[in-house]
Amino acid sequence: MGLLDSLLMGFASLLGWKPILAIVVGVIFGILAGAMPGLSPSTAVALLVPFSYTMPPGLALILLTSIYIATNYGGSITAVLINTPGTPAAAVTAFDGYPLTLQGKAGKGLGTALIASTIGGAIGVAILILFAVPLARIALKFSPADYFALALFGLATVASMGRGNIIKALLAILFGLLVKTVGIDSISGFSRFTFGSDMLYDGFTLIPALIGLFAVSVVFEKVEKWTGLARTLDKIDNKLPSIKEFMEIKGTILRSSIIGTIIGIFPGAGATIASFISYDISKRASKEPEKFGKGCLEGVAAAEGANSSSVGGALVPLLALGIPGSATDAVLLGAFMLHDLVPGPLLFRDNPDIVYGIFSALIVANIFMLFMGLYGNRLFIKVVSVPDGILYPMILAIAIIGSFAVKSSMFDVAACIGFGIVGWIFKRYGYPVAPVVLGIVLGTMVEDNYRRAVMMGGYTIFLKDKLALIMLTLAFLSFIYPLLKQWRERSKK
Amino acid sequence: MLAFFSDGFGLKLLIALLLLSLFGIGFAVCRSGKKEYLGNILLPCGLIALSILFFAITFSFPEEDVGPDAVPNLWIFWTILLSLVILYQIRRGTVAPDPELGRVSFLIMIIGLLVAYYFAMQIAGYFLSTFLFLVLLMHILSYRKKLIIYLVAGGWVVFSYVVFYKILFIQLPLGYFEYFY
Repeated sequence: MGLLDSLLMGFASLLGWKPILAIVVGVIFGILAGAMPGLSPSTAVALLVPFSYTMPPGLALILLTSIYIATNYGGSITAVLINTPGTPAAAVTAFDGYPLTLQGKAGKGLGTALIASTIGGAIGVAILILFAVPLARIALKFSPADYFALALFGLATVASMGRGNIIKALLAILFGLLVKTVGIDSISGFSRFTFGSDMLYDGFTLIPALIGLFAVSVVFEKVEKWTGLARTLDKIDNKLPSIKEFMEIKGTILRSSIIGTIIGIFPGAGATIASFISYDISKRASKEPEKFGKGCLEGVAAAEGANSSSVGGALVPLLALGIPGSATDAVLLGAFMLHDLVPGPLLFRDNPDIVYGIFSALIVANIFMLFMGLYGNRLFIKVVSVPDGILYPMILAIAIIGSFAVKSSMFDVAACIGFGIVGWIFKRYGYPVAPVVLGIVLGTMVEDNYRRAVMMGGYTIFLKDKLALIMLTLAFLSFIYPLLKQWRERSKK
Repeated sequence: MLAFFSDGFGLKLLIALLLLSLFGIGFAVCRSGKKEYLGNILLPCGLIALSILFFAITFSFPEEDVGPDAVPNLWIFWTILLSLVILYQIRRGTVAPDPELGRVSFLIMIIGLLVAYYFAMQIAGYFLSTFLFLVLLMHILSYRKKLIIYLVAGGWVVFSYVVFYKILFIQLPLGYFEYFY
């Protein structure tokens, strides 16, 4: 059966009220869960897996994949409006999304995130449909040295975050990397820097650190400057980006969608890494890089395009080879097994209706997400008009419950408050907090793959592996170039 | 010698020495001509102190070729080096002085309230302590419409109960009121 016939078969399986209802419920639940800090995409999908048990397999997977694609967009809503990323990947959306809200352009921020998410999701699904099997085979050829180089390349994106002083950005990332070493070493099993406390055996969880650094620190900043007077914001503009603005960012959306899909294919390299790398590349390619971080639509588009397209990428190894590419994929793998299905090449042969039903559902879910977002944004924006005296306590309440919800741990709540204080101190003295998150996200990937690569091939492995050498060279240039540029500018002054 | 500071009494002694050093550096900076760079100086010094602490602890790690201390030592090395670069930049005057202090005492009070909320959750349970925290904080932040305060605080508690506790089965702390739920 040809690809087109298979897709038509897939769309035919959506005809009926049950599949459409599954997509509607999945998208709405996904957006709301994604917006809530503390509920990751994997948690959101996992929560509905038990409910899907009594459903036919095709219907269950349509529901769960709709949730998956919607959560990545949902995370951007709170990131843009209150600088509280609902998902780790949305942290990058906050870089430019929140400044847009502060400028009274929340509508443009949310609208750009929505459009980039929709297009990114669609491109990710298209690549998934066309190239699932060959791409999966390539991704699995990556060695630990290649993964280490990819992670280091991800770390190099810190160069785009150090406005003014790149050394401070590098110190912030090193702080994040050091924090990530706390806990049990995944290779030797030895507990490091736990100070004898069993609460530190698992180290610091990403989401409480993220919420603390981004949301709690902002509340502390505002409280430090508290005047008691009502905030005077110009009328909040809920207008979407204009056609002209969209045409200016269409290249960024396309580029970031492809980057996100490719990075999403590699198991372990998820939406967060994809967002950071895409943001960095887009900033370097932009005609106005100085606008990034100050409310630039390109920045929002770069982050969200990559974020959403990585869903399609992450499904490539899962569907084609049965290897989960992300935590959410691992949950989906469990859902497949619950319904007596085994993802892999045989799934395409034995259950093409299921596979192409999923593909079709992802396309329809994207379209429905667009309409939901267009309507919902008018409601979401009202959050910005809430008085500060209510908004900031509510942000703290959401941060506390979001931190607790990850592992039902009071330690995570304490960590969230601690990181909030760290974030406030860092920002006060010009140290960006985003690199701290980047260090925490990439720390394990950098360390584990470095040690595995050296154990397998010695220190020269990084010179012998051509792909690793190319990526390491690019990473090195990414680090060095901004330093040299800054030094040259200072010399001229 | 550094192995002595990697564990037990030696580690506690090292922590005390590092904290005293930071305090001493802060005192010295306040008495010097670089008083306006106090925060900018203490932050990289704090990172250096943290790095020294972590470095000392790595002496208790098993010795292997690419063992558990390999990568942390790499981060420690670069942290110390780059912190020294920042301090050098401050000495040369290429770093902006500390920003003006805002209402730091007010902020410390809010952080104190947050910490009290953290402990209260474990004693009085999440729902009661959250309600009281929200009411108190909204009042402190000068919001005066009492009905709205109670509606928002109560509404959030109800939302948390229904969505997080009942639907999502997240075991929010109940404190001593566990038997009421």
